[in-house]
Amino acid sequence: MILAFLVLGLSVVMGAVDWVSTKRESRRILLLEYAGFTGVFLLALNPDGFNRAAAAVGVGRGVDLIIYPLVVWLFREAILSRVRYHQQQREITRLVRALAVGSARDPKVY
Amino acid sequence: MALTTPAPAGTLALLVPAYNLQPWDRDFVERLGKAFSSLETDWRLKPALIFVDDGSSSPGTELPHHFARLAELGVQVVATRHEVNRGQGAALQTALEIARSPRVNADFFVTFDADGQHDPDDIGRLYEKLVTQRLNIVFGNRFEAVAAGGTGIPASRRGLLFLATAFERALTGLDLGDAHNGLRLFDRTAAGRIELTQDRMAHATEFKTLVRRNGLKYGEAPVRIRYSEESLQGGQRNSEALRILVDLLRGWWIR
Repeated sequence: MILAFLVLGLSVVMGAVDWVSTKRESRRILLLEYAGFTGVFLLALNPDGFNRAAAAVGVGRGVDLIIYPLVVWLFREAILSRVRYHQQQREITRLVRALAVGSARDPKVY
Repeated sequence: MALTTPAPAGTLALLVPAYNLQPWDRDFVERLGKAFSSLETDWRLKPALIFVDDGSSSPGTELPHHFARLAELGVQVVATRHEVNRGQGAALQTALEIARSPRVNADFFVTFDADGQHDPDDIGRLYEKLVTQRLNIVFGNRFEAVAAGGTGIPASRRGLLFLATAFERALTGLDLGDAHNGLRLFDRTAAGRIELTQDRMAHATEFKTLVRRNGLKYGEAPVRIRYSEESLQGGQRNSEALRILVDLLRGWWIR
């Protein structure tokens, strides 16, 4: 129970900080963060319930119900971030090139 | 150099990417001017120089003098700058796009390093091979020049080049003897099919992959490389081989 309220306290503080520091038009994404916090709080509040649910689906411990999807999500996120990074690099090159081609000039004024 | 077959008149553009180095010296520029003059006399080629400064923090102070001198010699010079450093491959592609544009409208294209390691007289040799053998692209081969008594290759480079050449042969299927030689000459057909996406040093391998993929006719000609302290520092270090490999793999996986 103490752990559950520690998790709740930490989640409330972090959620409040993120709410204040995020632009109004981007706050919708915080709903995803709060859903995650709620899941961890519920797990800390009722570990036995999660253990039973985990046993029912055959993943062993209740905490694994959170960890396994998290690993899958993080792996996917890492790959997609890498792809996005390189796509952006390519776009930066295209932009730099367009500027360079547009400003190619007579060397007398180089 | 004897004119053995009637060569089409046209513009030959030298594509020169440079980053944080003092490109050439005055003697080199005179030699370059003389080589351009021979190309004009022997092959009726109008010379152009496309210079791309790849975001250098300190562009060469001698550059305005070099450009003015080449312009005096009748060379069309176009200079530009990447506002952010993007790598040699990216700068080369920029130079290529300028050379293909109506502003220059080049017929033949030469990739040429800015550190003075290439011999300007080799351009004519590459061109002669291209027109007499009706090729689309001719790659420089420093090993052939060494066999013919040319400039020696430092031992530190020899091992790496041997491995890189074997790797490139396996990857591209092109039967070429010198990996990552910066001196190449190609025609308009090849220029229209070359779009480099490898911004850094892996562009040399990508170049060959594009030649293979587009079914371009290719060959090799001996070229001399002058290894100076600057060219050894500015060129590809042995440690960069791994980075090139990673870039190639990334390019294959992420498009």
